[in-house]
Amino acid sequence: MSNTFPSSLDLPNQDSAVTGGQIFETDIKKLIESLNWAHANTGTGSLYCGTFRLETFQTIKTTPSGDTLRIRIPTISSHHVSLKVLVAYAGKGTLDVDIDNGGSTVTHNITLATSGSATNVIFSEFNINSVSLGPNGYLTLNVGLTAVTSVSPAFTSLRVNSLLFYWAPLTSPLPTTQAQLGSDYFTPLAPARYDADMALPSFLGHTIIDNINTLRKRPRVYYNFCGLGEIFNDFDPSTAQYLRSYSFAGLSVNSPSSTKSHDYIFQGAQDFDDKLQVHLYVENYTSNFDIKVCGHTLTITQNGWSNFEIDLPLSPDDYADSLGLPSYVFGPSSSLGLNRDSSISSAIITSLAIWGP
Amino acid sequence: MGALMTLVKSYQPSISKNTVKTGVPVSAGILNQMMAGTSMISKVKVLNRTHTSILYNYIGIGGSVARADLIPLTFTSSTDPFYIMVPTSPEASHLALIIRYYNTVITPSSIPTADISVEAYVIDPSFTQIDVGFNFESGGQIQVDGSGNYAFSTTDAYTGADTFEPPSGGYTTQTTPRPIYIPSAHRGKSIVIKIESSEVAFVGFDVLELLVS
Repeated sequence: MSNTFPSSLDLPNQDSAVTGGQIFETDIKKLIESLNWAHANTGTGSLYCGTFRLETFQTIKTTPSGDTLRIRIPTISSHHVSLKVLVAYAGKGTLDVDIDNGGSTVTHNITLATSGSATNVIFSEFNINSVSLGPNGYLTLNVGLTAVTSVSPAFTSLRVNSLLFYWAPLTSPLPTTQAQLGSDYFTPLAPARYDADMALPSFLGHTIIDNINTLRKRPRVYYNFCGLGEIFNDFDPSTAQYLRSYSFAGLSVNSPSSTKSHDYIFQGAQDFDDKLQVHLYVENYTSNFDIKVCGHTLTITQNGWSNFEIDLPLSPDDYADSLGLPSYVFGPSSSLGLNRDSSISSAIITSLAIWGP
Repeated sequence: MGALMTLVKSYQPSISKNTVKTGVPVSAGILNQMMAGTSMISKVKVLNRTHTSILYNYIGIGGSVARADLIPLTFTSSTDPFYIMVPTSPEASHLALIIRYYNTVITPSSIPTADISVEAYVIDPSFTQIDVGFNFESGGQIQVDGSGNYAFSTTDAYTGADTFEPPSGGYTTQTTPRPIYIPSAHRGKSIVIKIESSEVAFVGFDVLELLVS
């Protein structure tokens, strides 16, 4: 009696559940299989996706670049512990991913190796398995690069064109244990146990209700931006100096228009008093300042990571009618408090992540 | 799904556990609500989306490291295209794109050559094209001018969200803008979207899985 689900979704026919009618065992079985399927797949979309032009997220040094990208991602269940990393890259070296769960940090060095020029990009997908999720419901990923070959004699660097993180969907059968996220649980069920004409236990009804509630609250990432920290992409032999990639380091005055994202929030979410989780990283903080995210004013009071909880947006964006689902704009919604320096000497938000149900 | 079923797009109201108790007859309405809640999550909430912002190297334009809107004059050449990588859910068959671009035309004679080209690939088991893609063309789906006044102004190019069945064997030449089609054999895989352009450059992309009933 394993907790299976089919590879193709096969939903129960809700038109069959009518007063006075027979409850068919096939519908109960499909209901359970569909919930198992949803547990396996819901929330496994993009956690962070970054795209970089030539000589941007690129290193020539054989020492680690350090925390060049700081990324916050939500965990989605205690069953989802395999993190997928998809990289478009050129050159040789390692993608260095530190995963901080709030209690411990584990470093993963993913080997990248190809030949040819920095524009000869290839694609590779990697798994970071058995990720320790910690108690917080989120992880911090600090990502950098290390090149294999240094300046002399070969002039070799490692360049990343695009980078994607997402949780690997589960495969059938599901584990026999309960999955947990915070105080919510998902209990996998065995469809074969309900594939016969037998009494429906109240336990089954309670578990289905809990499972639906847990999946409804499962987080999806709506916006995830991070600027580029210090990294050196070139070497000047005349001065024997490494040359830095100069890129967008953090949110600036035009970020509300240039970084905004569009995503669905489904109808009914407001009825549950659902919230958006906002995580941001600040550098050069000297005194409190306000910013606006999704229309809400947030007060920054410290350097480093800060977390906020805000209400859902109320006004759908211009694409909702076309998409046929309520879609919204996410990201900074005003230039208030955003950096306007050319030298980032004042406070700057280098990472901003938003997720919610 | 049965032919008469309605796709449930909204989160369903909470179900009280008092409705499911030992010795109490199971109400068809409660079972119906459980099915609707499950259908909504499995068919609608599962839809993925991906957003990416583009980071450029700004060396040579003042060494500024903070401003997203100090945008390079160069457009995306075919020698170094953009690649957006997106995970897809098993039910996704079409992907809509919102492409946030800006004008890099500096002479009116270049206006007609402005375009954006989009193609789609999978990398598993090998790098294989799954959709020959489409073009946004100047004067049609994208709007540029020759003034050179492009800074601080971005515009969206949008594929629309009309789902469709491609011709047997798929398209063989690029079409006008439409959502990307994922053949059934590749649904649930990671998709690589290749984007090239002439005379326009980009600040960000949104990719949204579309609802298919």
